[in-house]
Amino acid sequence: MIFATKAPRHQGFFYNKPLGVPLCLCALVAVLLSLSAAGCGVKTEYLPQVSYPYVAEIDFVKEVKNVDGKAKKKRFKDDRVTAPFYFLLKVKEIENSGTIAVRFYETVETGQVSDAAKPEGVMGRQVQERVFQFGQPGKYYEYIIFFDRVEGFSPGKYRYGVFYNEKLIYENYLDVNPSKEIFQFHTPLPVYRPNACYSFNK
Amino acid sequence: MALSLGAADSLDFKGDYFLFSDDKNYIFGGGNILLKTGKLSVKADVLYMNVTEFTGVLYGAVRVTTDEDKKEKKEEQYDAVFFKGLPPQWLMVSYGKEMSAKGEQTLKSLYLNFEKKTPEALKDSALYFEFREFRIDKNKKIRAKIVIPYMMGLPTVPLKKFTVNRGEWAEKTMLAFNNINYSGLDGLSLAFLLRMRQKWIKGDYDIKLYERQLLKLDGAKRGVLFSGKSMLFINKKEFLDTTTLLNSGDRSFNLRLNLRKDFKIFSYALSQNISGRENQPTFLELSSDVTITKLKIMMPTFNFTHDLKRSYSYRMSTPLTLWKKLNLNVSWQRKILKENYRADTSDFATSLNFNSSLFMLSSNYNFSRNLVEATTRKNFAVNLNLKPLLFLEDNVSINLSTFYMFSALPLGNQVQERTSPGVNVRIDSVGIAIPLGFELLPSFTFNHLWDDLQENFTDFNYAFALQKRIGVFKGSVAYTLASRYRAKNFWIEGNNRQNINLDFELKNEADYSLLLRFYFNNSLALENISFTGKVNLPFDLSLSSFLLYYSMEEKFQTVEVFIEKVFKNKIRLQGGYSLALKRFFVKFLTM
Repeated sequence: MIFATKAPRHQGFFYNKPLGVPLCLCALVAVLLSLSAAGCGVKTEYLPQVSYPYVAEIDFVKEVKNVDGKAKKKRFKDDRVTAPFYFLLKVKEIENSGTIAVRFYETVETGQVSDAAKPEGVMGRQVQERVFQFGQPGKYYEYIIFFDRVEGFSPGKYRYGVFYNEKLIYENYLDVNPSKEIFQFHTPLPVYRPNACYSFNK
Repeated sequence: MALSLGAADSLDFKGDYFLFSDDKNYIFGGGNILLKTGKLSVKADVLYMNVTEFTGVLYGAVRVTTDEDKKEKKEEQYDAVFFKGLPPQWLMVSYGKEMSAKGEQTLKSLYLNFEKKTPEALKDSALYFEFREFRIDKNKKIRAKIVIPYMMGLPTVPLKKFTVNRGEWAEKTMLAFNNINYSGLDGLSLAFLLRMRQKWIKGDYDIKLYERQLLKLDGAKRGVLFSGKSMLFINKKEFLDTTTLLNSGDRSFNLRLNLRKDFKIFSYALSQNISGRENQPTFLELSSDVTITKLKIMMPTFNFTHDLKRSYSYRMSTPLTLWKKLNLNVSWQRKILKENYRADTSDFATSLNFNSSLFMLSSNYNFSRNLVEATTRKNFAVNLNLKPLLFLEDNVSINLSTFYMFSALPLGNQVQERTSPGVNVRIDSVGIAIPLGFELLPSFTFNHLWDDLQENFTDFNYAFALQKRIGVFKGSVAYTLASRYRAKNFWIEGNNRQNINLDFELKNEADYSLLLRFYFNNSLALENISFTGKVNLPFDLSLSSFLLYYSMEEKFQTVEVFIEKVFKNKIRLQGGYSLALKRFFVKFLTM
């Protein structure tokens, strides 16, 4: 089931289908667990239960398409991320409505702002963000997948954070590689290198 | 912010949900997390913790308060708090319009490199636990409350309290249960740890009870394996190292006793090795070493070995450090055997290695005199390897090496001498892009050997691969030609071997991998066709197949098709058909 979105075509998110048979199995396991818990003197309501969303997957790919409610990814060659790129984020165990934001920060390695130019303790400035509104009040989603296109990144190392209702739930770094490398040879034939792109127009 | 925490000997966590993976030694937590340690309280929403490294991070609206802060009703909030060790060091990170950090700056490497493992990845473990509270101490022992253990993904009986990770063993004498395990080598095993921490002995021993027959494994049916190392003390001083291995299954044992002492000028070591097996004589060997340690350019060692019955040897050797880049070793050995036959040899050996920015040189010379037969055996070898020459921005490399070998071996009443110099050339390219998106991958090697300065052998090996990729498809044709020429008087004898491989590959790592190969033999006639394929199916199943067709004989040599399911990275279940076995099969394999 794909929810309609006002986002541009390159952006989107979709929810998992309602649970059918697996839900019955889950319920059966829950009942058995409750019975054995009661037998061991543990109150069912105190059993550990996932109640907070978490990031199950984040991927940076060349392109993401929504094909019949499924995310179709086109990966970069050798998974070498270049700008522009798409990110695909899978967040699990979400209830109600809210926002998910993905924010990108430059780092010292990005080289856009020198270390000396920053106030003490500042490790980078936010360069881009993508915010998604999702869900309906009172509803539970096993997972939601968010994706969007990101462009305008110069090569370098970036930090990104995933915020659920403005609370950080995940962060990591991302290496953005040079997008095109024109190879100029003195010999008539250019030499192939697996990690670069070449132009024959030169 | 300098956090004064008071004494903290554990981290106490409470929350809605924690997950501990036994295989990965990692904890994930989510929802209403409260961490207490010493005088500090931290509230957060998400936890990732690496138990092995004792490092972690808390995310969310992370509020950090000390007891003093509570009195003054102060509370500081961050987006992420990284921690390490016990008592913990802290690095607080805020993500606003700017990303800033304060606290222990040495933790920045943790902030940069800390690996986050998702609950899905942790649940891939054969054994994991879910719980609501836990305490982890400096020995990484984790005591949890309201625990549900999961084995092979299935929940078992909930427990009020349980030690989900015993952590590092306590430094005291004890016998403790270690684990239950299954492997192809030991079968089903139950292992215990015997830790000795007494005035006179310190050591750890594994006691493993194993059962193999029940699982139809070859070798000993069942038995007890006792193995370990310990150090014996006299008057609080190290006296004897022992290494013990006893196996009741195949009725064998091995015991090694080592005595070592260091003095100002020299050190000595005595070692007694005793080993045996049922119906075989016991082996006893005494070995002693004396090393002079105070000399500047050399460290001479004298070694004596005696098996008490049949043979003995003594050896003198020393490294010579004349120059840092030059390694020179000199040794002499006398070896006397009195077993089924008598032997008495005197061996002299030197080796030299030199490493410079342009080349590497290695050589060795061995001289062996058989004192019983009054014969001498000599050999000398030298290798010179030039460092690779790189061209076209490191895309083409040329490797050159030369060698010289000399040997003199006794043959009856004569001595057979042989001198054989040679040269090797290897040219490699990572590939050449040619029009229409094709890639050409050539490589070439050349070897020449003057065998005993009489016969010339020259080998040429050429390989050319032409390939093209279109999305997930890769097609390639690879031609290899190996030629050997042998100069004999006026004539040159030669022979060639060649083959062609034609490959078609469809590969999408997440979904499928299919490879169809046509092999053309020396006559460039089609000899066989092979197909290897793997397709990932729903429910973590995969369909694999292997097919080999002999074109000339017009028959299938083998066809194998099976479906595979991997359970918790431990057990692999395969079911399918094999033409080689001529039957359908179901296999359980351990990983």
